[in-house]
Amino acid sequence: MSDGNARSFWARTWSRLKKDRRAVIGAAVVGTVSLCALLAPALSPYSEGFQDAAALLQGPSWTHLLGTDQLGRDLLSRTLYGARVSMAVALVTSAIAVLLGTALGAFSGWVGGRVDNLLMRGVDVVYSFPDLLLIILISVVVGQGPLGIILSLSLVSWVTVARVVRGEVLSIKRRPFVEAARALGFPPTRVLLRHVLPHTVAPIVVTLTFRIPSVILAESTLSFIGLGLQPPASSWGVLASSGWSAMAFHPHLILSPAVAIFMTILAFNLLGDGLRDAMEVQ
Amino acid sequence: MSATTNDPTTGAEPLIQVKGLKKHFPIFKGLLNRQVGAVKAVDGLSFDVYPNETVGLVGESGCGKTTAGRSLLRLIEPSAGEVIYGGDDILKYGSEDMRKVRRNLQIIFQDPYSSLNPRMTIEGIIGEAIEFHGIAKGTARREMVEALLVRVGLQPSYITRYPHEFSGGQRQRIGIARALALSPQFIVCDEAVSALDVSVQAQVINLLQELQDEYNLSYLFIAHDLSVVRHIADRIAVMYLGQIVEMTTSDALFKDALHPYTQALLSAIPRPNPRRHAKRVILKGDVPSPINPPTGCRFHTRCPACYSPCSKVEPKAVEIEAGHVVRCHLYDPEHAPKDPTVWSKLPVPRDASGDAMAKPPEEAVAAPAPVPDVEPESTKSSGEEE
Repeated sequence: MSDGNARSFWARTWSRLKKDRRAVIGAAVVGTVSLCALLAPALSPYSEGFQDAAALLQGPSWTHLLGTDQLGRDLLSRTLYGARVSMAVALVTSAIAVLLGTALGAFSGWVGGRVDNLLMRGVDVVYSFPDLLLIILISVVVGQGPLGIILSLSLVSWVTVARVVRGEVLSIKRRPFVEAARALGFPPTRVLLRHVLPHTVAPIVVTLTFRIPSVILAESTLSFIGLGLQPPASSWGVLASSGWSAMAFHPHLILSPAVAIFMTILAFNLLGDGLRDAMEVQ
Repeated sequence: MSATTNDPTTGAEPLIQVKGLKKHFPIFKGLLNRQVGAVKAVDGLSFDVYPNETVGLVGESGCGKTTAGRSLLRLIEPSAGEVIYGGDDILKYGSEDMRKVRRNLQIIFQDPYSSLNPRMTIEGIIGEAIEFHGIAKGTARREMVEALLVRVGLQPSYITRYPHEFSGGQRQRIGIARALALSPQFIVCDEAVSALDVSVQAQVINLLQELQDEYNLSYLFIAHDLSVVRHIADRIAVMYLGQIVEMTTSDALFKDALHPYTQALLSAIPRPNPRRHAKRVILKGDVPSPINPPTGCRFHTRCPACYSPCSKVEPKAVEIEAGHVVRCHLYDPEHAPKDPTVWSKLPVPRDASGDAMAKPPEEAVAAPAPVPDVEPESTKSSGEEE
């Protein structure tokens, strides 16, 4: 439609974001990690499972830039492939959480009253349920692997989004321009979709950028304690887990996945901070 | 003009009749969310608005003016009462009928900043309803929006801009254009000029008056600034704690206010002439809580002329003369005070028969004063001095 697009909002956000150096660094790192994950097969010097029997537990060298593990697998390749799993799990989980959380949160806040009360008590129940217990339960039912991780992490993540969106909708629906839209005779769905929800985009995007790193961390933690992916597959958590046992003598094993996790999470947080500032509406 | 059942100038039927409008906000408490009471924000409001007329609704903050305006448009759902428009009670309308009738009943808001969607262009803000109601789209819609902008005194080229690029006065004009877009008959102006500075206020009020003549609009002008209301309103209703305590023509109200609350309110208008003895009546205490309004007359806790029936019997609205309605026992023959000294305790004392005391010559002096029309009539008071 010709009217009321958010063009100026995004243009303004972009021009502000460009000036925020930390946010730009964050975005660059996030971009690099995403590219590495996408292009892992092309970038990796070796395949994910290739074992160099002549080079077990070696430190960094020209043939193996980040060294090798107990089975002679190239750590650089494993870290790059690990990025795929970690990023994919994080993105899919966050997308599910945002969709589910936005839909339920917006509905709850918009309808209000008893429905809102009921839905939010449900959210409270999920929220207060110990995450780990829920994840173990689900992994028992679905089985270990990416699907179980995505399912269980989405289930614990959407409640945060739902709360944020509900709060925003509650405050926006009382603003006079929303009343004006109702006074002009627009039906409730149109008012919600065109006059209320666009204003929740900023908090949703910001929540999303903070959600992703916590999912990366959660996936790593789960794989680390053995509830996530299993060793032949590669993820940063799996690498850290297997590197951990030999840490005293071969610190390079844990260093590369740990640095990857740390950098990625830091980058997402910097980007999120920048976005929050850039999206602030006058 | 004086207001009888029909508009005397045109003999017209009322455009809108509000009858016994109530809005009670329930208060829930405790673990089981039981209702423990209600804020009686609007408690039995009745008035008519005639075609091409401006009715002013004044009162202290918290007296329910804004709630009244919103609930008669069903922006908040009233608890009881009727709003008759076009022969029907619109409070009984289903959502489809309501949507259609909304084209004729619009609202202008107090805050020009939060009343425009910051993410929409001016064309979107004004034109969305034009398209939605099937009046025009595409180029025709753009032309309509441009014409509306010109009509409210803005450049047609502004259509591509966003609200944050405008000043408060300009934004208020955009809000007015949005309300006009559907060619309504009735507009609630909810403190429409209160947030603007004085020079802009005057411009916007003039604009509203021009538009009224041009499009034959009726306004419900909600405000707390009496001098503004006096300027624009044909009739004025004074609200106290959710009820109308006095309603009459603008001239009559300023010349001969009857209700003690109205009298006190009028005495609070600042005078531009320092030499004139401005005696202000300072009311005791605060407005009582609308959760537990005082028994009897709601004003009795603060009324200087309170007497026996006031705290027990709720006064009814009495029509003193054609179109002048007061809700006060003093003027109700049924409860007329036995002690004539009560009359002298009024902010503007009256003699024992309830007639106004002879007016001092001061009024004649006031007339030629070179002060513009914001100057109110003197309200001679012997009440508490400041």
